[in-house]
Amino acid sequence: MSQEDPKQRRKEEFRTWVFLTVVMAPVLAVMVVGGYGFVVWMLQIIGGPPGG
Amino acid sequence: MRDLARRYWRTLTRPSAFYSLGFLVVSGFVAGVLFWGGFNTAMELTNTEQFCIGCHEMRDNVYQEIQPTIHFTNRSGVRAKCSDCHVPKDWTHKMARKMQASKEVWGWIFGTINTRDKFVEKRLELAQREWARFKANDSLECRNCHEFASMDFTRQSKRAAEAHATSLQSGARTCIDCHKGIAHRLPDMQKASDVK
Repeated sequence: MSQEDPKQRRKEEFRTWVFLTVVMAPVLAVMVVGGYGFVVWMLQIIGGPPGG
Repeated sequence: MRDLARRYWRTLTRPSAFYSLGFLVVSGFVAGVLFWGGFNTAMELTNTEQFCIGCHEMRDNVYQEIQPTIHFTNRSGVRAKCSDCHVPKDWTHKMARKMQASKEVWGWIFGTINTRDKFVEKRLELAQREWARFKANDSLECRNCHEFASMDFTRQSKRAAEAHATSLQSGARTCIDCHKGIAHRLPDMQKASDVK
C-alpha cells in the first residue's frame, strides 16, 4: 500500500462514520422491519388473517 | 469513481486510525437509542386520529360516521380512536398492518375511493376484510376494552344477556358476528356474500 495523507484518511474515516450512523444503519433497520412486515402480510394473504 | 469506492471500502473494513473503539461503540449505541426512539415516535404518529383523518377519504366518510356512535360520543367521554380497533397492538402484526397501509397510499394516489360514491361502492369489500380479520382473531380489538369476565349480565337487556351467556361464552360466536355496523354504517348487505 502506498503512503497516504493522514488528513485525507481522517476525513474519509469521519465521512464513513457519519454515513454509517446517520444513513446506512437507520435505512437498513427500516428495510429489515419493513421487509419483515411485508413477509407477514404475504403470509396473511396465503393463510388468511391471523388468529388471536 | 472506482478508486473512490475502493478507498472508502478500505476505510470501512480496516480499523480506524483516528477514532477510538470506545467512541465508535458509544456513538453507535447512542445513535441506536435515538433511532429506536424516533422509530417508535413515528409509529405512534401514524396511529393518531389526526394522521388518519389527514386524508379526506377517512375524514369525510368513516370519521363522520363514527361520531354519533357510542364509541365516539358518550356520557363518560371514554372513546375509541381509529387505531384502537384497526391497528393490532402486537408488534409483528402492527408492522404487517403498517406495511399493508402501503396499499392505502396506493389507493390514495390513484383515487380508489376519492368520492363518496366510489367509497359506498367499495365499502362492502373493505368492511368484509375487517370482519374477516375480527372473526379470525376472536374480536381481539373489541376485547382489548370489553372484558367478558367483567360483563354484568343483569345490567344487559334480556336478549343481550342471553346471547352473551350462550354463544359468546361458549366461543361459538365472537363479538363481530353480531356487532357489525356499530361504529360505521353498514354496507349494502344485499350484496354481502359471506355473512355468517
